[in-house]
Formats: sequence, structure tokens, C-alpha cells
Amino acid sequence: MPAEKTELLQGTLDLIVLKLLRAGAANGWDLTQSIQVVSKGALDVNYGSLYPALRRLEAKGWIKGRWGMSDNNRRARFYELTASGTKQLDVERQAWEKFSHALGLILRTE
Amino acid sequence: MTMISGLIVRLRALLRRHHVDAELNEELQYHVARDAERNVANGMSASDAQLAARRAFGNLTIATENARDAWRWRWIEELSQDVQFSIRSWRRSPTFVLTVVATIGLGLGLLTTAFTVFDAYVLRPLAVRDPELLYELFPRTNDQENRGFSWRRYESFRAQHDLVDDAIVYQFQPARIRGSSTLGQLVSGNYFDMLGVPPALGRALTPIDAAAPAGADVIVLSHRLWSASFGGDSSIIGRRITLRGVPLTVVGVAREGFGGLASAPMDFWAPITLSARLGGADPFGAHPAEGLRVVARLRHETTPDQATRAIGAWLGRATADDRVKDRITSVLLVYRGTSMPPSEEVYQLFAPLGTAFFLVLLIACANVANMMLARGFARQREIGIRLALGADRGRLIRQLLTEAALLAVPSALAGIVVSRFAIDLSVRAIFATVPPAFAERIRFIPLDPDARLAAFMFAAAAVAAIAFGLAPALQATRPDIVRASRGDFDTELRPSRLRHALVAGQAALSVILLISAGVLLAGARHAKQLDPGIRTRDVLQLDVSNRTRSSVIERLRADPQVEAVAGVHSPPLDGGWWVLPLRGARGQSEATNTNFVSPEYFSTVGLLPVRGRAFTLDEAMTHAPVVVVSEAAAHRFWPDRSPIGETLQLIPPSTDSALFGAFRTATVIGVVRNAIPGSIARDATSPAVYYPAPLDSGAMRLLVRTRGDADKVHAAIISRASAGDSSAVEEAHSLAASFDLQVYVFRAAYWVATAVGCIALLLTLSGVYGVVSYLVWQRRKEFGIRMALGASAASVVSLVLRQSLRSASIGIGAGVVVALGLSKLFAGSLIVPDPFNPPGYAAGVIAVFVACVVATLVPSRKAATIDPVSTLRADS
Repeated sequence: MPAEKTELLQGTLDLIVLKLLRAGAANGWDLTQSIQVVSKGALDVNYGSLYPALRRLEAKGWIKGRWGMSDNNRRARFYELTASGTKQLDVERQAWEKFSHALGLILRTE
Repeated sequence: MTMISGLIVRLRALLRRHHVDAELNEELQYHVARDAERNVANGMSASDAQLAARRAFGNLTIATENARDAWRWRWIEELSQDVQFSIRSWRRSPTFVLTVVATIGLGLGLLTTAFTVFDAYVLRPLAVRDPELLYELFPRTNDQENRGFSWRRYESFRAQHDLVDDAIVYQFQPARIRGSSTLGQLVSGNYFDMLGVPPALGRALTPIDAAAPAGADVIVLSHRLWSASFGGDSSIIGRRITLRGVPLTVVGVAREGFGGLASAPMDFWAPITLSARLGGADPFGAHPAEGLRVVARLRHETTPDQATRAIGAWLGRATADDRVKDRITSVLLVYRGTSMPPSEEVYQLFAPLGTAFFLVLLIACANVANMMLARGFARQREIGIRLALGADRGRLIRQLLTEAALLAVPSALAGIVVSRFAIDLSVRAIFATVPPAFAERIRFIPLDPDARLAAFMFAAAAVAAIAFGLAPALQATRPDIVRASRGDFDTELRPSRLRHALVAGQAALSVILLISAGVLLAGARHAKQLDPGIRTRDVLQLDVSNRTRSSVIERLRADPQVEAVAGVHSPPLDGGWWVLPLRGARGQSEATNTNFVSPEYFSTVGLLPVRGRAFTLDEAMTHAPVVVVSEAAAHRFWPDRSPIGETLQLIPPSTDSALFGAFRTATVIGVVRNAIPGSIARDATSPAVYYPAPLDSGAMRLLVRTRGDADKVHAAIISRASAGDSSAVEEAHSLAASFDLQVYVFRAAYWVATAVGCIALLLTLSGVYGVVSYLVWQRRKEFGIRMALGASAASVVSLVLRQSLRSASIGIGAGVVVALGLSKLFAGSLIVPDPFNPPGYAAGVIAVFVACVVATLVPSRKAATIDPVSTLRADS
């Protein structure tokens, strides 16, 4: 494991999951791999928090899980974005951008 | 949409728990397997790869738990776990459960009984159209005197459609139907129409039936009377029955369950136009009586306040030409949508009973709280271990409260059984114990349970569960884990202060209830020993119909068993007389009890003149302006001289101006001894005056002095006097029966207070017993040591006695103080003539104290028999 890992900020896991599912249905393991690859290994998701997050999002109706066959031909649970999930992604993305912009401003101030 | 899909996900998780759990497990296993595969691909050995994947994932169980929680309503699952756990634990201690259910059931049952009656009379809307719009009108003059309606005023009022939607008139009418006493109403023709009550049979009364002045000779029977006295025979329609000598045609039977606008169910309804012929006032003539009672149906859009102002203003305009004193200046609207209007008097009537029963429930709750506390104490080790294993305190408290709530459910059911039984028993007891002459006249409205009662029961049970469950739960879960798990009950964990407070509270409540019983007993004794001032055992009171009045009087006078016959306007002991402001020639006017009597009255009831003389027959016939006064009145008006020859002035009340018109200024011709004026609530020493009236005038009741006990000879006298006409004598009872009925109220109150007090005492007894038993059990090690060191059995007993009697004494003292405070509140109320009654107080205090000593003695003797060796050997 790389030594310098960044802890996920509270609440950002939902945004990441929604964003990754935008590209298409994926199962839990796929998602962890994608996060590592896309963040170039900088972010490491605690698996223990991924699955509760998936269930929470499903309970909110933003994603939908269904059983399917994985690429190595095993039964796996795939998640895909629902219509309201797509909307939610936009909402959260905007909120995040606002926040990070504001934070950037503060950090740049001498 | 989003919310619904979320709900479906959660419901599925709840209902198909195992399936969903299996899915989650499979999903997580898949993840670990994929990780392991990747590790193998990266060159690890199969077993290392598996281990590394596991390690990377972290604690699988916690992850599973967390993921599971995301879909769950945790509280539902915890609740169902708590319920299952509680049921299991209650199943292990059936005696405990039975004791709790019986104790709380008793308390809830009594309180529910009181609420059932209150609900049926005061809260439940009558089964009529729009009961919430019905208000009775009480017009008031400037002096706050009531002034009723005449027919004409009612008719013009009714036509004011901007004021009210409609209005009806009613007047109570007692009558004997088929040999039994009944009470009905004379009403206006729109009565049934306005109330929206259809007939069960035939037709209802119509406006034509009561068209002034003659109307029609018809009657509508209540469903109850029709079933009870006419066997539910439908050929009744068109038949004639005689009401006070007037033959009336039965045109209909009212809907089942309809009892009219009254606090007792009515037996019949007849047109108001029959009033004068049935022996009542005539509201139609040139000088109409103004005694009609009017119930208005307000318009939907008017509030009672607006209506009060508008109607008051209208009545003011309508009486603007009258004497200043008679002008109506305001009107009081009293709600009539329930059997009893919810007024302050009604609340005062129900408050003592409700409070007493509530106190019993409190005592029961204290008892059960004590038992739960003791049980929590015994379970301290279990709870301590659970706390040590990381159980959340809140969760434990919730679980203990669930146990309490689960006990509340069967307790509520037991309470319902107790209350039905108590109601049944009370109704039977009333019929069995009331003076027989009145038993057939008692009517109760149906006391059926309804939704409001169920809600009350549920709420009371829930409150009780919290009352007896919360404190023990808080106590038992005090987070001193180490000690608790060792089972080490040191001073800090001993919930003794709370338990002693509960004992003190119980003792206090019992003392309050028993003192009330003692005071009421004294009241009943006092009432029983009151001297009415007149003969009662050998005087019969008759209500005869006008048609046959003179022939009945003739036959009575000729009867060998009759000594004398007299007439009286307000019966001597059937309730209050008029109270009018009278004035001597000089000085202040005084509120004085006033009555009209025939000349024979004084000798018939044994009220002989101590000075002057009684009326002559001639004075009675001519309404001569003379008056006989009681000694108290003589003393009040002319303290310094003889009243004979002095004058007494009165201003006729507007409602009965015709009756009093001749007596504006009357000369005192005699003084008689004091007598109770109508009701024992009014002292015999309150002033009374008597004006003359002839024996055969319409409104007079007859008083018959009999040879021998009136109750024994009355059947024979009446059958001879009525000479085969069953409606000639409407009603007869001895004055002694009237007096007994008045005392009966006190006796009934005393019985209820005693029963409640005894139940409270019993509960206290068992409560103290329980507390002391646990106290002894808890300190057995200490007692063992004391005895091993040479303490005598007697000193151990006295140690326990001292300790528990201390809290009992505090409670008793507090109870006496509260009782004294309450007695101030009730001072002057009718039912308790002398609220501070030393023997009553002493009896209450002694009873509770003795009960506490007895309850303490038994378990403390057990403490003295402790074997020091065995207790010292026991580890806890």
C-alpha cells in the first residue's frame, strides 16, 4: 500500500460513487478499483464504509442494485444510477464545486 | 417516487430479513474473493492472497452490521427484540406478572369507572342532529334573576332567523303511566324536527300538535317505556293512555336510545299546550306564566359568544317596556349537546370521585414501581453484565420500559373488566339501597364504553406504565458497571431513598382517602341525626291530578286512617323552596325561604304556633295579606320586639308574579318553630315564612297525616282515596322517605369513600410489606454480622421497624396536612358540613399507622431469624 493516502472527506464517498456509476453499472469491487485507478492511487476507500454507503444510496432511491454476472462469470450485485440519482449527482457536484471554490479562496488568502 | 422506492427497500429488509442478509453476505464475499484473485494474479500464494484480502477488507462483521443498518428501521427491530425479550422474561415470573396486572388493573379499573360515568354524562354528544349547536337560554334580569319565556315571547324569538336557526321549548312533567312513575317532557311541536330524531314507530310530534292554545291530545313514548311498560307491542299506535287524568292518543314511539335533552332519559313527550290541563302553569293565557325553558339551535356561522350578545340584546329590546327590575339585560347560554352541560358545578361534582380514584391508581403505581425496583435490584447483576459488555444505557432503559409497557396491556384489559364489574355493582347497589319509594324513579343513561373510553384507558395505562417503569429503569441501569457485575450492592447502588419516598407517598395518599371517609361518615351521621323540625313518619305526601283533586280530598277526609289533610306548594323535604328577598318595615332585605301552605299545614306536620295563630280557612280562600314566620325569621327581622302585627314586604319574582301578587305587604299573624326548609343543605335555623293558600288550589301537593306509620298504611289509603281511578293519585311517599333520600346522598358518599380508602389501605399494606421484605433481604449480611456480634433478635426487629416507620410517619404527617388543606377547600360545600372532624382524622391516621406496623412486623421478624453463619458464608 502506498504510504501517502488521503482520507476521504466526510460525505464525499456518495458523490464519488454517483459519479463513477454515471459511466455505467458497476459492482462494489469494480468501484473500489475504479477509485484507486482514477485517483491514481491517492484515494483509498475503506471497504467497510463502501457497502453501507451503497445501501444508503439505494434506500434513498438514487441507485438501484440488481444481481448480474461479473466478467469472471460469478454472481455479483451491480449498481446503476436512477433518474433521481442523476439529478442528485448534479446537485452534489455543484455543492462540492461551490465548497471547494470557497475553500480555495480562503486558502489563497494571505 | 424516491421516497416510495426507499420505503420498499426498507420494508423488504424488514420483512425478508434473512434473504436480505444472505444477499449482503454474498456481496461481501464476492468482494473478498475478487481481491484474493487479484492478489493471486499479483503472485501471492492462494492462502496468503485470501488472508491479505481479508485484512484489506477489515472487520467483515462490523461492515456487515453497518451495511445492514443502512436499510433498517433500527428502532422497529430493537422494539421487536425488546418485546420478545420481555415476553420471555415475564413468562419466567408469572406470579410477579399476576400481581402487577391485578394491582394496576384495580387502579385503572376504578379510574375508568369514574371516567365512564363522566364520559357518558358530560362528554358524549347526544345522538341528535348537530348536538354542538344546541344551547339552552337563561335570560337574566338586571338583578341576575332568571326570567323564563312565555309562549308568545318564545314564538317571536323563534322567528328571528338572523339570531338562531330554530328553538324548542320544554318543561318537565312527572306522571304515572301504567302504575309506574315516569318523567317526561312537554315540548313545542318542532322538538323532534329540530333534533332530527325520527320515530321508531308511528310519527313524531308535529307543530300542529302543539299549536297554541289548544293543541292536540297526543303523546310520543320513549322506546324504553314502550318496551318496558307496553311490551313493545306495535298496536300501541292509536291507543289511548291516561296522563294525570287526561286521555292522550299515542301517535308514536321515539327512536331507540333517544332520551331527550336531559340528564336522565325521558319517558314520553307531549305537546306543551297540555301544560295547564296536566296541572302545570299556563304559558298561553292573558297573564302567561314565564317558566318555559328554551333550547336554541344556533346558526352554523355564529359562535356562542356572538349568539349570547345578539340574543341578550334582542331580549333586552323585547322587554324594554317592562318595569326596570324585570327587564332582561343579558342571557346565559348553557351547552345542551351532552346529557349534562359541562359546567363548573358538574366538574365539582365529579372532581372528588375522579381525584380519589386517581389517587388509588397512583398508590397502585407506587406499589408496582416498588416491585419493579426490587426486581431490578435482583437483576442488578444481569444488567451490570450487559452494561459491561457494552450495552447502551438508553437501550437498556428502553428495554426495561418495554417490559413495563407490556405489563400495561393486560393491566388495561383487567381494568376494563374491573370497571364493568364496578359499574354493574354500583348500579345494583344504588337500586338496592336507595329509599324504596324512589327506586323506581331512578334512571341512568346507558354507560356503554366508546372510543373515547378506549383512548382514555390506553392513555392511562401508558402513563401508569411510565409511572411504574421509568424510575426503576433509571435506577437499575446506573452505570456502576464493576460493582453491579460483581453483584455488590453498596450504599450507592441501593435505591432505598426512592423506595422510602414511595412508601411515604403511599401512606400519605391512604391517610388522605381514609380521612375523607371518616369526615364523610361524620357528615352522614350528622345528617341522619338532623331534626327536620316536622313530623315525617306519619305524614304522607300525595301528588293528585287536578281533575280528581276535590273528590280525593273528600275521600281522604272521610278515611278512618287519616288524621288530617293539608296542602303545600313546595313539598317540605323535596328540595329547596323559593328564596326571596324579604324586608321588615325597616331595615335590610334578607334572602328568606318562602312557601305557600294551607291553614291545616301547621297542625298536620306538627308545627304549632309558639306565638299568635295559624291561618284561617277564610284567609286562605281570599289570599288575605297575612304571613306566618319561623322563629328564626322573627329573630332576624324583629330582634328586639314581638313580630305579631308587624308587616313583611316582598317584591314578586317575575316568574311567579301572579302567585305572589297579593302578598306585597303582609301582616305577621303567627310564629312557628324552626323546620328544615326543603333541603337538609339549608339549616333549620335559616329563616322561613309561610303565606296562605287554599287546599284545593291547583299547584298544591297534599300532605296526609296518618294514624300509624305512613309507609305501612299508604297503599290502603291511596286505593280508598282514588276509588278505582288509577290516575287520581300520581305519586305518594312519606316525608320520612324524602328525608331518607336526602341523607342517602351522604351515606352513599361515605360508602364510596370508605371502599376507596380500604382499597388504598390494602395497597399500602402490600406495598410496605414488599419494600420491607426487600430491605431485609438486601441487608441480611449486615443483620447476620450484627447477630454474630451479639445483637438480640428484638434489636434487629426494632431497627427495621424504626427505619420503615420513619418514612411511613413522614407520609402520614404529609397526608394530614394535605387533608387539612383539602378540608378548607370543601368547607361550606353541601356534602361535608364539618370538614374538620377530629375523630375522622384520628381514625384515618391510626388505621394507616397500624397497617404500616403490621406490614413491617412480618418481614422484620424474618430478619431476626437470619442464621448469621449462612449469610456470612454467602458471597453476596
